[in-house]
Amino acid sequence: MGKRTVMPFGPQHPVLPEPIHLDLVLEDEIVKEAVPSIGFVHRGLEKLVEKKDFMEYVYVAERICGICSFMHGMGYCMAVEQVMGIEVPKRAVFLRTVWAELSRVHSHLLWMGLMADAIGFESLFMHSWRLREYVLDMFDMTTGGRVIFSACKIGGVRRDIDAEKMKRFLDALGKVEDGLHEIAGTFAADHSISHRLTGLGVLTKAEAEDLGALGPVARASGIGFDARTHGYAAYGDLKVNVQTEQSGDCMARASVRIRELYEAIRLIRLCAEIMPDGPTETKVTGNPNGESFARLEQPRGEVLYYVKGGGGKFLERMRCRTPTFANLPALLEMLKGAELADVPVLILTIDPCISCTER
Amino acid sequence: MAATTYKGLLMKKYISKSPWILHYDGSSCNGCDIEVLACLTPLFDVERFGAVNTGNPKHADVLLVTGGINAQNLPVVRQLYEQMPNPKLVIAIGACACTGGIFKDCYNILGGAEEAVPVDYFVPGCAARPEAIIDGVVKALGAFK
Amino acid sequence: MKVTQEFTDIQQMDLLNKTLDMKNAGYRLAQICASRDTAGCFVLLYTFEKDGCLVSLRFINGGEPIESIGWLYGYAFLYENEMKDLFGMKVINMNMDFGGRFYQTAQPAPFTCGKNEGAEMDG
Repeated sequence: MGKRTVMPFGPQHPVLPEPIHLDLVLEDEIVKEAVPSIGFVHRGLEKLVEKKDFMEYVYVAERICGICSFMHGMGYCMAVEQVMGIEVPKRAVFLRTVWAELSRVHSHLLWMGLMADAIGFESLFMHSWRLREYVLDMFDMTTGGRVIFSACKIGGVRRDIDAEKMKRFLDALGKVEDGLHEIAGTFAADHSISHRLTGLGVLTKAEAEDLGALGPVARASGIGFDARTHGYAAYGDLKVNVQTEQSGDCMARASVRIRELYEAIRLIRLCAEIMPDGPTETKVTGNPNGESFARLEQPRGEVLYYVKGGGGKFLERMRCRTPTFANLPALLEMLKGAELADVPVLILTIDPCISCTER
Repeated sequence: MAATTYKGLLMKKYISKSPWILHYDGSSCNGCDIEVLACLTPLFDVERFGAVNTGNPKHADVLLVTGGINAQNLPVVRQLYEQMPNPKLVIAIGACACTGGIFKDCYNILGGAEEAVPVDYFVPGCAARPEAIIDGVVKALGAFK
Repeated sequence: MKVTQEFTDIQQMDLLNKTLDMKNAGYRLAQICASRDTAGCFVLLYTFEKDGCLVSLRFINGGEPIESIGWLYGYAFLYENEMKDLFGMKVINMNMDFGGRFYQTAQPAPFTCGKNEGAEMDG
């Protein structure tokens, strides 16, 4: 038995673009325990509802996280709309779903790149991010923004996609899919990747349940939980195929995400096909009075919004439980017994979003 | 930045041709961070200006700060800055790093990157577009010449 | 489409029993949310989820210590530490206690002060 040492990991680390700090208790090279301390990105934006009115707060909600920005805005809008009893026009709901699924494509491609970078596969990182630029161009074309585009508002969406633009949009999506075949093929078949990821960070189904894991982390351990199957937004009209794996290791999580990319592309095409015509927003009058939850499936897992209004312009409480926050216990469990060199890979395998976690 | 010796001037000239970039995420929402990373990828390819991304402050010439500063990351940003060798530049990327941005009113945000370290250039935007970031870096390198 | 959700008001002393019932019925802990009411008391919302149905237990706490539910749901420590750090509440018998260093904020228990700033601007 070696001597125990405590090694600080982060907040500034070459592999991680975001600041997370872990105190790793090591015995030789083996991690015995990991203690997180968060707060580097904590802004306290849940309290900002007291200073920004509920319409204006959509902009803040979108900036909880710049990666799944659209879905945060959408989740907040859905919660407020439920409180106020607003019926969002069907077309707006479909447009939201299109952008939400496109956000998933963008986020998973981003993750693939970061994962490749973490295991030292620099060219795959570059290729994933090159492909991701097509997705960002699609956002740019339809909303005018690349990562934060404020397309969602309470009562509907700000932009419409007309037929001509939709055609270009779908053409671009085809290109993304073509590029994806190449990258996904490499990711699945490359010996060095599978050698590095298979059998690493195994989370059994029982552990995943006990630790409250969500999203691809849970699905890779065989839990078929996906909030989209509950039919929020337009998902009631689309049949979402939940992607699961059984082995619960890093490779399984990668595989789930890759298959979700194809699934998201399929859902966008389906949305474009069955999207009804009509208005894209409805007028909002009055102030929210009451409380409601909204939940949706982000790239990283289920996000839960709680909104409570007292009839004034300002909400009384807004709570956002983000997927990475819920996945932290699973991460800490995975780190136990891991090699020090695998720590960055294990952190990236849950696709952490620290700014979501700390808000 | 005070490099008036021959060696110092030579250093400046070399660095302006090959700046090594260190990125630190203050309390940003990730929007600017992924745009900073996007600058390094094939479409924008900041490496054509000789810039290289590094994770080590001791190798870095330019510090890119995204996001606002809070009490917890203030010492981290200061320490990174102090560890960088002279001459060095700091560029604040995005509205939050410039002023605190949309989160200025949050209880846990002190303000922009200037709260922690002297900032030489400010790149506005929420999120700052890669074009703007590259423009900022290239303009800042002019200061080295 | 609306999320199926229900809110149940309980007493604080029933929390563990009700949580045990939830656990036995196969629910998972979705979140714990604290907020403040106008009287300055804490309002706690323990939300559980099963098959798309959200059940929330709500009770009011005047500052007295709350028993941790960590022995039932191991991952409740995240929310309980959050309550401690951001609201300054007392939670006892936690399975992982960060001792107020989970969220490190410059201002201790920031959610407890300045509650009505927004309301003044409204008027």
